[in-house]
Amino acid sequence: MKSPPLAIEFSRSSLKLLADHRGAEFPLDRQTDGRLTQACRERLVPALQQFLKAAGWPANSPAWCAIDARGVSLRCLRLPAVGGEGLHQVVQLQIESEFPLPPEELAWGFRSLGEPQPEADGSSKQAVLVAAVKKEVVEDYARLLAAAGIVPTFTLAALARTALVRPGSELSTTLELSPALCELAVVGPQASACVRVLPGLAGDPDAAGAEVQCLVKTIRNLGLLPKLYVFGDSRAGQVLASRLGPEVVCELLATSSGPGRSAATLGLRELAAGPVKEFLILGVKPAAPPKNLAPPELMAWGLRAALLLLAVLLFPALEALLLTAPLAAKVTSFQDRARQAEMTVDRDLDFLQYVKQSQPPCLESIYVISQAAPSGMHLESLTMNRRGELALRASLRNGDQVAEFRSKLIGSGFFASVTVEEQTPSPDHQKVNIRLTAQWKALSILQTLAVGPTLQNSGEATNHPAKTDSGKALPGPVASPGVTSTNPVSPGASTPAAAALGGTH
Amino acid sequence: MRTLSTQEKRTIRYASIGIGIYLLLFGGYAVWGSLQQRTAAYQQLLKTAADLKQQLRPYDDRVLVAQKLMNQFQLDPARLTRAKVVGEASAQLQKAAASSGIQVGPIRESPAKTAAKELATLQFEGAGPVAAVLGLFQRLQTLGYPLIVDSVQITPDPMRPSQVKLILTLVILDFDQWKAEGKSHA
Repeated sequence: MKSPPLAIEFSRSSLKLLADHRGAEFPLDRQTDGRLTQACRERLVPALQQFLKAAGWPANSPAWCAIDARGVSLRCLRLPAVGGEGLHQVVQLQIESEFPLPPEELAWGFRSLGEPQPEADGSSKQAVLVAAVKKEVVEDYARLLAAAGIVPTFTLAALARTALVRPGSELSTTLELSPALCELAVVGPQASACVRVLPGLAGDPDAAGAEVQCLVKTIRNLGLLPKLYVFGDSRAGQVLASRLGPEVVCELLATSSGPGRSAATLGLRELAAGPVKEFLILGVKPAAPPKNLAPPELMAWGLRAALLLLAVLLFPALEALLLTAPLAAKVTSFQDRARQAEMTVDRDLDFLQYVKQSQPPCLESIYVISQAAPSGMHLESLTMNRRGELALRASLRNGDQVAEFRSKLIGSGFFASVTVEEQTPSPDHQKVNIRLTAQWKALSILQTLAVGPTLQNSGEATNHPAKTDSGKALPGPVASPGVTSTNPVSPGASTPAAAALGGTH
Repeated sequence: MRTLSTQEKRTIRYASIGIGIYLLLFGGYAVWGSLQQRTAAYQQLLKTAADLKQQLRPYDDRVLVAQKLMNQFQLDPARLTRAKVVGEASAQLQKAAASSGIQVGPIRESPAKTAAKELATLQFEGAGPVAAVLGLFQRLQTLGYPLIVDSVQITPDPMRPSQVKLILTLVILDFDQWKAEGKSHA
């Protein structure tokens, strides 16, 4: 079963609190303007917290809270029948026109009284009960209760009491009699409503003639409903009833006594058990901000611009702060790897280039000799070394061929020097035996000569002419050192070199 | 404790604001200086990285050249081991000569000059047709070993008129000396 909410009543002199079956009453000290003193607040907050804790209520518990009628304006208005949010706006406009303070400075609320009624002019109007009080009063109580961990919803104590008269009834006249002050609330059938705060009946009611007389006078002047419901001091109620006479029927309603129990707190419980629309809730609308301040959007944009500017200024520093360490580690690691790679690449490249440059051009040399060899030349031996020294022993037919052979060797541009160290005619004078030495040119020069067939035409085994530095064509299918073919020279090919080495050409 | 008057409270408020501004300015100046130093160090680091990149750019070409030479000679220096290279090169030479059609003769091996970055010298003797000899010359460079022809002697074979005798002296390079050289550079 759902437990009833907290019910709180702020009266002039005390705060009554009813939680389930436990109740408490705390005295209130007020300033001359009716607001609670600071000392009273400081005393109340822990007392309330302690009570709630003892009663087993959690923090931020909701509570219905009834305030006394001092400073409250209660009116019944007849307004055009509109529904929902429209009625709220109509009531707000009515408050602006009929109440002395604007709605922003008030805690106000309203509730409909019955269904809309047609008027004589054909329009439909609705009776609305409106209550308003200075918002400081409600805010004061709200802050106090919030500090104690209570989330209050405010209404009028005078209206809360009506729930005890006839549950669900909208029309009644109630009077609360207490020693401090009396509250008279009237909600009439003809759309009239008021709430009055009258002097209290302290002491013996029989002796308090002036106060009772004032009450009687006020009640009679108001033209009340035929029945008056009286709460509070029963003795005072009896005295009042006798003074009012038979014109006004007084019904004394006794409420259960005990801490925290009053007509208002018990009425709040009754109201809480019914539908919420029965409540007249006093709400506070936040006041409009002063117009001399910048609009919130402008402030927000200004803040964003300032943040952006700060980010622009700090970005390089932030980048340095965040990225220095990772970048330093990366650079160091990369330097090590680069040094290693550099060393490896340099070493391998140096080695490979040394291998390439140290290869003596033996094949080119043989090729040049074969091209220069005259017909009938017989090669007896050929010696070469990588220092570029070449020695050759051969026999030719005559001295002219020797001269021609030497001229061709020199003309090839391959040799730096060619020396016929010895030429000896054979005993039968049919041949001339020669011993020839030569020196290659430097390898760097020889590489520019492009002696021999190229890679492409060696594969095709065609006889494209190769050029020497003298421009002379040197035809012949002799492989160059750069060819990767495993057998660039056909084994059976009858090359000039083969002919020269193998016998007479 | 005595309650402070409004004027005293205002004085304390102004003093607090003044001290706050002072701390903010001087603290901010110190922080800003520190940030500037870090930024400068970071910029220097960026410059180092850029220099490093610039320094390594030529190595793209060098790697390509080295790759081309490795393909040309079918030689990978990283796989050469000093202990095996002489034996393997000798075996490979004989295999290449035989497959070229050369009748393999005696092979003599002798240690070479260390100062000349040479590991060993091989003297190979053989006989065969001229085309086979020329083919062997060609294949010497693609055996996969750092072989340099030191000397060649070709003479006709009197016993077989169509063939020649070949005495070939080869030098095997010592790659480890390049390695040592690289380390000494590092």
